[in-house]
Amino acid sequence: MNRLLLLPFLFLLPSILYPIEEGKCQLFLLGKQYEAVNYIIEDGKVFLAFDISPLTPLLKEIKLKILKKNNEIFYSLSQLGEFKALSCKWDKENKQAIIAVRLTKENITWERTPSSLVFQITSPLPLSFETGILSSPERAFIDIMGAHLYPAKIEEEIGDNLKMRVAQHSVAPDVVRFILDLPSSPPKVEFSPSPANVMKISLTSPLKGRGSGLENIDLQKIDGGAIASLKLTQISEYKTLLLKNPPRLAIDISPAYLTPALTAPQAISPISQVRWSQFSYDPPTVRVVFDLEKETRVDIKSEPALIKVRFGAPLETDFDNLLNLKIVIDPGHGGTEPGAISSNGWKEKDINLDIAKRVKKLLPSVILTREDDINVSLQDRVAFAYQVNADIFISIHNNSMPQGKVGSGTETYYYREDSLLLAQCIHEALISKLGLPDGGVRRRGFYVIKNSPCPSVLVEGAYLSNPNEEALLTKEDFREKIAEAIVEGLKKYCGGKR
Amino acid sequence: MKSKGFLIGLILIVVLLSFILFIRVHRKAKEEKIWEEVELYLADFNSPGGPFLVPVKVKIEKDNVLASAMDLLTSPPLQLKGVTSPLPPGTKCLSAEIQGDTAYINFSKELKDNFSGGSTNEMLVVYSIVNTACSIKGIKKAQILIDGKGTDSLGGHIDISSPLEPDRELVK
Ligand SMILES: [Zn+2]
Repeated sequence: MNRLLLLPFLFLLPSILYPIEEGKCQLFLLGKQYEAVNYIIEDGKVFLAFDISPLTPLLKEIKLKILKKNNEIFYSLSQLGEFKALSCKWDKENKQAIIAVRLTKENITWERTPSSLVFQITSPLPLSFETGILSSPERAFIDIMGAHLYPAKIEEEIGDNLKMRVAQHSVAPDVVRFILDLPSSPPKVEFSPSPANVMKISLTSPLKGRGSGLENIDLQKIDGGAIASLKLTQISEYKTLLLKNPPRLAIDISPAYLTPALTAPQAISPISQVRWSQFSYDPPTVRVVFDLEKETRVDIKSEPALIKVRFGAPLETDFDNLLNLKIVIDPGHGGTEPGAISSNGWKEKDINLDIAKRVKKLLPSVILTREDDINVSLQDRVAFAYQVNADIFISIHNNSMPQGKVGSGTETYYYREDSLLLAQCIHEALISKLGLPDGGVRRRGFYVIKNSPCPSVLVEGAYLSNPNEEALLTKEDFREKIAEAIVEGLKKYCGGKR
Repeated sequence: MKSKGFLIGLILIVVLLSFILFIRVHRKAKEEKIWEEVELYLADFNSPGGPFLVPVKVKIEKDNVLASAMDLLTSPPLQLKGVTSPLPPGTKCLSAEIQGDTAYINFSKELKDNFSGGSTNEMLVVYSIVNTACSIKGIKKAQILIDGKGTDSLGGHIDISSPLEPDRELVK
């Protein structure tokens, strides 16, 4: 009975186990330092008396644990530490409290826009930032005051020789340092702190002196297609990539940058959309992508500082018809150079020559680089095209894979932009006539197509290393089909059969 | 007496620790002096877009770095998934020298004799050699020699009679 009388005094137990401690401490609140802040430790929990208004954006509809003493309000540090956006610490020895913003990888994002690469640091609360550029090596930095980073170090390669490093630079004061290692020829760097919880750093492609500016993309409707004109401020190198799934044509212009004046033209069939981006900064490369409704024949002609791409119908060629053209047919290999050899001993050189002779039968005006089984060097094949003043050069080959791989399908190679349409026309005909897997129109620097004086392609009809395709290549009617497809492609190219 | 023994022990430990630290720092500095990072361009035959060259970073002793890189290319010891040397079987690097910014790499006749044909295949072989050589500091071009002599072409698609610059067209 007597013992029961003690029960009401049980509430005193915690204060016996955890004696109440009071005093003054140092507080770092979102990067700002406050001295002589009153604190109370009760139940082992730290309560601080401070102006909580910088934290109010987080506190909506949350009931705070509060102690009220001597007309001062004390807030629970451990409760604040439960907020996802905050990181709170209590240093018992030094009587130091820290309330910082908790930053993770998710708070740091980046985005490529047409003319720039923009990094954005978004803090859940307004913070102060310090920014600048450090030299040797050149790097941009942002100091985020009053933040803790989880994990303490983040490193990421962005591409274009850019590397992002974020790390806890110091604690009390709490600084997270964001560093962007810049490429050797750094782009223009701009910091824009707005709104108060966001810091943006944008890398803009530097204007002028670093290549050619893409000023304008114009689309124009023509019979059966469209013409795109890309206007540059000066002559620049460019490279095309014809891609499938979905069908599109990419043009990489380098060195080049985007100009602010660039606006999207109204799409014209077969172009469904035109996009562009500063594809890389080092070297500065602009990529323009034409999304296509369907696979389309493309012809590219360039004048100084102007790239003209014709989608759909072929460009009017200077030629009236095939018969007036000097077409060189180049059967690959020969003599002591057999090319690929199939497992049954079929030699590429013989098959190539047979196909070339069949082309000549179908189109007697063509000229062959060799009519017999003789050695002809790569240089002599090109020299021959120069000698006869060739208008078109077609090298006939059949493919092989090494090391037990079989390979399969038909590929057509071009190297220079003046040869893309020719490659497309011939490839289309080959695919529809032969019915083998479509290996695509590809750009590769094989000697004869790199160095010939005219539009030139290299055809890889089928794979000798593939037993099924080897069997086909040994049949006359299949070799005849390859020859027919080449002639059909030539007709298409010359506009004789649209 | 007891505290004196303790003190000697402590000094011994400190001396030992600083010795170990010195060795480690020294070894690291030495390591940087004798090793060079090189990219071996090996072939990936299994990717859907056709075969590609894949750069694989290796550390090679600086002495004879070019010849060592070529030895690794002819018989890569790396059991890497899906990448292999595109060089024809039996190919050996006989010698390699650097003149100015150009590497001259001399291979055994198997490089040409055992080449199995195919245009893309030839590109893989030629540029696995040229790109690997040009990944070495100071080398900008490379010429392939066979049995000490220059040759027009390995398989009739690419001219190798003069030094070639690296090509990234085939690199994934
Ligand atoms: Zn061939």
